[in-house]
Amino acid sequence: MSDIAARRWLFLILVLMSTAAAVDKLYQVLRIDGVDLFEFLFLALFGILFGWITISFWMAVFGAFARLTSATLLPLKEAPTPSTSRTAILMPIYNEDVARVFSGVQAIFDSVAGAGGFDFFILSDSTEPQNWIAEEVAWQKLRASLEPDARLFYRHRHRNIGRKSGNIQDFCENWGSHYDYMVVLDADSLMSGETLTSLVRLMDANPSAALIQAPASLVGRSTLFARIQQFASTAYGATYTAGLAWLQGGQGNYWGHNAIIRVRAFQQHGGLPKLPGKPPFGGEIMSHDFVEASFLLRAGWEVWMAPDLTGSYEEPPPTVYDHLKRDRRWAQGNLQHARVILAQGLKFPSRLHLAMGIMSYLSSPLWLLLLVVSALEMFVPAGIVPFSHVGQHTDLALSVSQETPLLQLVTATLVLLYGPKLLALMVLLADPAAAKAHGGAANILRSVVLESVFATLFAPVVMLTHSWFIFNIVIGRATGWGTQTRDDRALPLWLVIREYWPHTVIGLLCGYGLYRFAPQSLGWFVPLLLGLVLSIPMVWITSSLKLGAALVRDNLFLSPSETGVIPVLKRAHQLLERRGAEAKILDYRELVLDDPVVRTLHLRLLEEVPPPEAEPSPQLLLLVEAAKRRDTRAFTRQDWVTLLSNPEGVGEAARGAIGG
Amino acid sequence: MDRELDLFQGEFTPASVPPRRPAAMPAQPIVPWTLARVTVASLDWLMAETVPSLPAPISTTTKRRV
Repeated sequence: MSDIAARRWLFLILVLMSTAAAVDKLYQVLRIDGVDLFEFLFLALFGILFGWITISFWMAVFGAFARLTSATLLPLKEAPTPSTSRTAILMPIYNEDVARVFSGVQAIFDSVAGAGGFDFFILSDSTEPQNWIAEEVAWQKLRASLEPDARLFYRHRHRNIGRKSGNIQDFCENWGSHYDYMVVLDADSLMSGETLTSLVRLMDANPSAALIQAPASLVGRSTLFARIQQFASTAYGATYTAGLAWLQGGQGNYWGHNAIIRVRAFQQHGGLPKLPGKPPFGGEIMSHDFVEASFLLRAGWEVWMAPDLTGSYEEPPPTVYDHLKRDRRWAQGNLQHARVILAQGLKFPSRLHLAMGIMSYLSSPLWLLLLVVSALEMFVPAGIVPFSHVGQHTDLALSVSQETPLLQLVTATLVLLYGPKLLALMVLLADPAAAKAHGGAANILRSVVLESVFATLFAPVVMLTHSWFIFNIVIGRATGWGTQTRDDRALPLWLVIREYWPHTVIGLLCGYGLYRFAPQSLGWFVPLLLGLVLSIPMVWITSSLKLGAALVRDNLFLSPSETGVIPVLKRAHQLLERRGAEAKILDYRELVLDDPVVRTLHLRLLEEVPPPEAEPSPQLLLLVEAAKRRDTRAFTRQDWVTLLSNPEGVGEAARGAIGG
Repeated sequence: MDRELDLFQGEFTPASVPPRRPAAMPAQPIVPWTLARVTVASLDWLMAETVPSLPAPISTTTKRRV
């Protein structure tokens, strides 16, 4: 039996045995007075949820073991000679902040300078005309500031078919054949030149690898929430990714960005079908990455993760609100995988990845259901009357005969929930350089304790919000794929109250209900109720930039990007500041009409990537006439797109303006 | 309107994209299987990955006697 097979079997056995033991323990408690319907449901839900947290726990145990024994996590060697391969670095964007995008691209471009073989593509799907023209101008400015032979391209797609995966597919179909590999980025991704070069050399030396994922560390934001996320990502991430890499081997997953992909394999096997039926479960596949990885594996290619390649970064959402807004889309995308998970020919690990993605969101309503069932169970007359309680705490009631096994189950659950953090802490403290980069042992301990408190309070808010998302998805309400908020921002209090008053009210009502009807059980629910009741202040306070900065001074939640210098990140921030200081153009759309340089640029780009042909419509003629008079105040977004997509219309509107 | 007077310092760089080299990217099929078939296939995969393969039989005709 190979090493990886032995690890997988051991993992499977440990997960199944721990879950079975816990379910059996609970069954022994429940069977005393017979198992009624509620209890049966409770047992089933408990089994699923306990199994779910058991997976995370054992994954962390494997990861910690691998880290502490310096196990080989990526058994691939890099090619020893410089690469002659050609690699396209792709930055797909959709109505993103233009200055941020181009600062990031330029920072990566500078970082990889001299390596050779890299071409950069900014692949715009922007539907906002203001963004579209601003991107053209920013590209031209950046291009003009580089060497004449610098290969940095810009393409605007006129029809946003297939969202991000459609954008990448359009690249593969039109320009992919020029390249051996492509590195897909996200609008907030950064990668160092060294990491990109390593990825290329790994691909060169391993022709059966179709994709290598470089896990991204969270960096660059300053709100308290983002800083907590950044700390958790770098402090616990090494253990988590080690566990995952050690178990998945060459049958890994794709996380949508910061990964290198063999273009030929992707062209042949990465094309996504449309699912039958309407969204949210049918139509275009929203969360494309897991599905693309499963297709590559199905075709016999390998998909790896390189957990030790640092130099791969992304930015977290700045606030709880933004984090959960992103989760709405991810929840829909992951639930849609229910349509894919039973597809013919997929490898077992791909099905596991898809199942775990679904469970990340489905676990919330299941947890909620578990709580509802346990609350209802309290109203069923108990067969055994005498009650005890934990120590002197009369609000932590237990049936006398159930005391020991129930306490064992609670302890086991706590170990499973907090054990991974402790294991990751152990791994972090065992590495002096990593510990120093997080502010030293004492600061790490303080940060882990506070992060655990925050995570505990945050969990019920996530549970309730995800449950609401899933309810909406199940009844058929689809969501779009909007632009994310990526900049630091402190949330206004009214917005937080508007979004989180239901959580607060539900927390208060449940607390009152328990106090009134089952006071003996109130103590068990305090952490959960506290999170809900405090959701408004918690979301509001953690969006604070000032508090984020104050806790840096207090050495809390420090991560390597704050204690040291990451050159590519520093460069991106410098460039962004410089761009921010430059004169702001209020309306790029009108600039196309008013400024011959911008207009010439725009028309040339339209020539190179022409919009779909359309007959001149009466609407276009009206728009041109209005634009000639500069009467564009009433123009809608679509009006501008119609005008700016028509070279003749743009020319005529500009001539009219000049003539007038 | 504010203008950026030094918008372009150099020449235009006309090629925003390299020449196209079209390649079809076919949509991959998703043909649903039953849970039973998936379970059997998954077990097959697990066993194939994990059960040590038997050594190839030694041919008695070519086996060198020592």
